[in-house]
Amino acid sequence: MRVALFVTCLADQLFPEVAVAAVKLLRRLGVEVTVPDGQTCCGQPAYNAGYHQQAREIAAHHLAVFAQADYVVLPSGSCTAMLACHYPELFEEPGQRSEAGRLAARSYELCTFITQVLGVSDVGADLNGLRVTFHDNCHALRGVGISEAPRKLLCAAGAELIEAVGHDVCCGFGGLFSVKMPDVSAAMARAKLAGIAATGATVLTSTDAGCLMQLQGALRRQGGSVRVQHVAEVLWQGVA
Amino acid sequence: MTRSEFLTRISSALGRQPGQVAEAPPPPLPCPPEEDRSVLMTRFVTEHERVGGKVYIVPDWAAAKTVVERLMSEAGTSCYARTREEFLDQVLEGLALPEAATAAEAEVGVSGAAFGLAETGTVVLSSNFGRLATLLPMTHVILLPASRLVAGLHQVLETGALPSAWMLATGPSRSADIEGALVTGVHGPGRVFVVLIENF
Amino acid sequence: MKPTTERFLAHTEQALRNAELRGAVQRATALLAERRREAVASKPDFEDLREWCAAVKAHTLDYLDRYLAQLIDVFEGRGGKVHFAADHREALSIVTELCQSYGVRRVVKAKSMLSEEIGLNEALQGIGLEVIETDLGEYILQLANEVPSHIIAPVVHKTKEQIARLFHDKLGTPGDATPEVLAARARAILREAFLTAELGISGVNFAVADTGSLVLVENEGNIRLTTSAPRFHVALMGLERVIPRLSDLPAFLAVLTRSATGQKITSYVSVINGPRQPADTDGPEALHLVIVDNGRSAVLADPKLRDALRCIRCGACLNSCPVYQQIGGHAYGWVYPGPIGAVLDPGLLGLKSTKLLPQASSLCGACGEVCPVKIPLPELLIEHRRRSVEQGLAATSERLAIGAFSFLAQHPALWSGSTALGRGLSQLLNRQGYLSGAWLPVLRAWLKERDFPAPAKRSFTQLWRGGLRDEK
Repeated sequence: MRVALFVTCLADQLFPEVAVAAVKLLRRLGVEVTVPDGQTCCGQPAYNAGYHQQAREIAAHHLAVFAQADYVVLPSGSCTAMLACHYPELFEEPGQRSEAGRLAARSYELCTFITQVLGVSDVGADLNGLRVTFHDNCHALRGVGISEAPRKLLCAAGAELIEAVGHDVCCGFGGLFSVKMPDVSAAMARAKLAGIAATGATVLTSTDAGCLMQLQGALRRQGGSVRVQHVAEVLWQGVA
Repeated sequence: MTRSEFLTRISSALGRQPGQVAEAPPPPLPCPPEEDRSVLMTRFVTEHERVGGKVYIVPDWAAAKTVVERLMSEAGTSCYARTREEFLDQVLEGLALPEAATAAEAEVGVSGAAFGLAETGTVVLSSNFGRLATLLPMTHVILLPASRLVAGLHQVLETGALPSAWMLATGPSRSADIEGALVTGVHGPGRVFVVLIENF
Repeated sequence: MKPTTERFLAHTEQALRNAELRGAVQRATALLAERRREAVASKPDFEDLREWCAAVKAHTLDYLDRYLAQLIDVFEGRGGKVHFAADHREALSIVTELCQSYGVRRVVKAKSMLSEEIGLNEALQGIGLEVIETDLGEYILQLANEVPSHIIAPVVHKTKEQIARLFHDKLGTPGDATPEVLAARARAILREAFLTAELGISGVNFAVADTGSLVLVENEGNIRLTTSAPRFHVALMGLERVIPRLSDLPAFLAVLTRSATGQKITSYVSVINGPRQPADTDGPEALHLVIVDNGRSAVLADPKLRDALRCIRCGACLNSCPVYQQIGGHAYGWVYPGPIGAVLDPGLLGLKSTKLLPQASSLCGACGEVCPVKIPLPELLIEHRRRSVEQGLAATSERLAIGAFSFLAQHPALWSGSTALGRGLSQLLNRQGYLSGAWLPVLRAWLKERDFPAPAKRSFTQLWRGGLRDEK
């Protein structure tokens, strides 16, 4: 099986280890991974900010980039939601609209791809009772319905999953919101961190690097010892 | 603005074409099924007491009268107010306590109810018999024949002529406006008792 | 109420510095949200009801002229009088004329957000009337000379200590009075008001077209008293508050009360069908319904925004909003705060003066999930943002930045080059894997309260081409 990885701009530029872990996990599960040339950013920042003409152009670019892929896998729930929920509605021209619909139908967040398409829950990782708490990215949860898949993979790998109070409450990142309303954004992050600290977990994880960057940034500033890591990395470290 | 101007403004906003056929509204939801009186009674009691009311089940009007007398004496009231349902006469006649001149003076208000809704423990009061006696006194005693219990609000709304107001009352008056602290008897009655007359 | 939506950012800053406010708001909204969750979980058909109510409301709005016509005919047929107000000025003029013609000196008021919208209290006080708010929360606000900060729980922004102090200052109750003592005092004062006021003014939760009924929900009993004790009753309603049939009411009540406070039903529901009938011993002699537009017909005409008029004012979106929880309701600067405010206020007041409100969201989607009539709130927030851009209301710097970003995102070679340059330059700011640079625009905003990671020396694409691609 061959999948095309949509790296996502955050992973490409700031957290390449996330995408590396995703590749290694997929390869371990017998999947051949390609990384089509020309990918940049899914366009979510432009879309959310109301620049829909620009978002449409970026989306059109990526329809071409991923035209040949059987599956598109993303180490990000929010970018998956962008492709799955918003790409089709950006296009008025029926041909483009249905092409976007077909792309949406074959795009998956990483954990969801592993559990639903590969049908695998045990990726061969041993986390040895690692105390983990999971943050649900808003678009992953409410846009695409992702909440079981990453938890399933973590538990099958022997992690002790402890739910934080407010695990499904927004961390305050929201892309540009984090710098357009920075004080509210940071206050939201601190509210989340209180719930996370109360779990006594060693690791905070999620499907989304943006959320983790927000929470890690607030945590480091206020002082805290929870390790913040993307779910792909947590799982891959359990394999290696 | 006149009625015509006002409605025309709305029609224009809707971009309605003259002669355009109207869609029907979504069909009404199915009514909850009718139930056995004993089931209704049990559910009514559970729900009414869950929200801080109290229900006394009595077999007949004589027993109802005894309960009402006791409730009035426990409330320590000097007079009572009442609504005008005829069936209240048999419960209230011969009482030692006088009827108040106005509802505002009474500590206890006694009324009937047109219906009892089992689903929520609600009594449905009709303005036909008077409103203020059910509203002003701190204690409200409601005489509800069990035959008037229905499953839910649907059954009430299907009945015929409308009074000037239905008032659905479920338990005591309450507020949590002061930092979430629950306080009862804010404006309406703080103590609510339903006397459910089983065989009527 | 005069909007101060343009000062949203200043209000927000102020709110963030007010720990007492934020604590009170967070405790109240957490409680209401939890109660809602429990109530919804214990009603297995809640989703079906929600779906159905959304469909009925959407249909009603599409045929609002017909349903209003029906409502008016039936209502007047039972002796009520209907008045039509194009805007807040007409609404005020109608009410003040009624007051003058009836010789009203004292008015008791039940809670009505619409009355806040049109500035009713000030207008009536301006012609020498005494206006007394009777909802406990509104009464407290009246004593404090403040406006509500939440749609259904007006005084969530105050602690009980603050309220006790307020009552002590204004009414002489003990400084440490409990909520029970405060409520009892309010009851006594307001009881006198109910029994002496000539006029009661209320809002309307639902106006039923087929029976001409006005439905009002409450827990305190002040609405029943306001609409029963005085000689005259004036009910104010926004033109969108219609439902087609009395048989629709149980479903709407079921979703409203559970969404608002987690109750199966409120302590009282009034279904008012007309003024007192000849054989009645009490009740108002005259019942007036004032139907108000005040910008709603424009929202109705807007095919995307029309859905916002489905709102049944439950407040669930406020309680679920993590932004509202941090800043409270006053920050939004007008009558309707939170997500519904951010969607409706631009429709009623225009986007120009309210453009900051739809930006005050991380688009988390919690509001859309809890709306009992399925208003697509997150989509409408994005729609307002899209219109802001289209209408040239966005900041130039933002427009240029997104324009540049978008250009690069469609030109991969340029994207690679410029991001490589950016990563390289950022190494100059790299302090142990995190960036300094609080003097830089944008980064400065982040760095105020959070650390920002230094970008990777090599991007994933570079790692991929540099060997990862060819590994097994």
